[in-house]
Amino acid sequence: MTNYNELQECIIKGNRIKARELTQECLDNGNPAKEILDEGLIPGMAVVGKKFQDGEYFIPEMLVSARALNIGLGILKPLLEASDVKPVAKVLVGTVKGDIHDIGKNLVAIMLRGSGFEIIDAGVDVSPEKFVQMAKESGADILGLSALLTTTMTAMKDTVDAFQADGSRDKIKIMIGGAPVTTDYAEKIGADGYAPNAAIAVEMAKTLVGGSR
Amino acid sequence: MTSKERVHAALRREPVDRVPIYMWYYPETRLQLGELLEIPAEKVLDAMGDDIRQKWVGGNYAMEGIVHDHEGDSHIDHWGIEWVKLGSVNQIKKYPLQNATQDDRLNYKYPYDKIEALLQEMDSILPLADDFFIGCDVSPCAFEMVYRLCSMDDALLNLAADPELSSSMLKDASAFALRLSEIACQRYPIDWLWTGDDVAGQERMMMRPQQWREIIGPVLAKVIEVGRKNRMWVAHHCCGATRPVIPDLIEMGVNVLNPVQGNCPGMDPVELKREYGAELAFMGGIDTQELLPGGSVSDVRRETEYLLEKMTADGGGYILAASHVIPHETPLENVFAMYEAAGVSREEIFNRASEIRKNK
Ligand code: B12
Repeated sequence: MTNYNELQECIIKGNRIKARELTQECLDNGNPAKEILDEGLIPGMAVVGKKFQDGEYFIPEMLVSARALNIGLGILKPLLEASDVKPVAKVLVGTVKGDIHDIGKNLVAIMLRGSGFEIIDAGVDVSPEKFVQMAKESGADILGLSALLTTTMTAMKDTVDAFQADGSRDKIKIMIGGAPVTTDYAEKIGADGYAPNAAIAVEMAKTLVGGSR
Repeated sequence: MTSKERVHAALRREPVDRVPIYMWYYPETRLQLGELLEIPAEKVLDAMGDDIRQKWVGGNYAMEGIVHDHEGDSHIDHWGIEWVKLGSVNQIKKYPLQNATQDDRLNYKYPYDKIEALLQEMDSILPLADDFFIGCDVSPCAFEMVYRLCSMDDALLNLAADPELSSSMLKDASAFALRLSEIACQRYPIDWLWTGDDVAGQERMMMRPQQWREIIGPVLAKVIEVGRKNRMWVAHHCCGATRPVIPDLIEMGVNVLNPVQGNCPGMDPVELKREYGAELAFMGGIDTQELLPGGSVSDVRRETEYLLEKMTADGGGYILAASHVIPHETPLENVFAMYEAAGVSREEIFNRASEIRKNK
């Protein structure tokens, strides 16, 4: 039984060099990739999320942790795939058409990735059609839409509508977020959920796919 | 009272005939108003009765000052940043220092040779200086400039990953804003130096307030000091939840805070007025996220009247403004409602517009 505290600590502190060493060391000691993920990387990132939520960490600290996380994930990924370990779910994220604010979207992606989700990032200023197309190509289970402007919030509705029109709305859960967005708005446009921050976005995503896996 | 006198009096907490006004509009909103008033968009502020005229001479010029005709048109500015027209304003397409080496970042040269060209922007408003309150916008002054060079992710990451490099880049960014400020303050009859540096989101600051105090505040303070040394007012723009550093900004000599997003934690304008109003004046506070685009005319009128009463309780220290550019989904009647509440009637505005048409 390996003690994963040290690896968790590397993620929390954002020490990417040590995160790489330790992840490799765990593998060399014969620990399964899935266990290293579930007991090292993910719990480490959960602490990061909590510290962010509590106001101890701010965006820079979170980004440094994400960098360490990505190094660890990069080492584990081929092994996880080879042993047919599936991600919790696939999430397609992007900022809607006309909007280029992306820090919030990126933080949501980081926290989801750090919780075992696979992320496909569509970038910014993404049209409804592009979202539909990318959702198909990637087989995403969840779509996470970000909008920071009242002017571009309407593109969230357009995107939900595009999935309706395409006939693929029931194949994907849609969650939305960003400064002007509210639960009411999510309901109004027929999205499946809203989260006010990256930590709650993870809970929301888990709820949305809950039961399906 | 001229506009100029009105703003100065308000900032000194002396009696005014009405509260001074300075609204920012999305280009589309200004166009809509222009159409309604049957005047060119660039005359809208004149018709509405706004009291301040301001030009950007720093990096904001490249974002909003250069207007392309077609979606997707682009230009590279004096800083090497590539901008592309997306909707109404230009957005960054290429950051000159993204993926650059540490050396490249440390050796990056700000466009000091373009300062004269940048300052020429002021020429168009200087003739108005007798009547209007004149502002010179040297923002973005520190962090926001760094992120325009190397991308937001990168700039934020480096605050934690390489604070020393960040600190050095912040110094370079502010040194340029400082030079612009020095020349502008000495050369032009400016009423306020407009500084700005966006470091906060809807819920909280982007970086630890303590880190802001350590590496951003001190370099910003030097720019602010230029305005104070030259005996002019200094305004500072920072969106979002900036409450933790407001006392620091006051200490540095900031006189006016903008845009006061009242729906962010800690940013209730009335509470800020109570706590800091003796030392700090405010410009903004009329919400653009819900009230203006979504509220009714009577909501807007009521909210504006309430703010005007509370924000001028000590005899002034308030300039009526929205908490950022007024988005074009805002019903124009809501815009007029704000002005009405401040004592500028719809009729007065339409009369001025008709004068403008005659004088064309
Ligand atoms: C930084 C910033 C910019 C940067 C963006 C850089 C970048 N790479 O992202 C720049 C300078 C480019 C910019 C431009 C503009 N901006 Co701006 N910007 C901001 C600012 C200051 C901070 C946003 C931010 O990064 N916050 C930090 C992140 C971490 O928070 P967040 O995005 O809210 O995300 C969190 C949650 O919302 C949630 N979340 C976010 N996305 C998602 C998605 C999902 C699926 C879920 C579940 C959750 C979720 O989780 C995140 C993490 O906890 C805000 C101020 C504010 N109050 O938010 C204005 C703000 C959003 N901008 C505003 C404006 C007006 C503009 C411009 C029009 C200005 C102009 N004249 O050019 C342009 C428009 C550009 C465009 N077409 O998109 C206004 C919008 C007002 C309105 N009526 O809607 C704001 C609110 C400022 C204000 N004073 O009013 N901006």
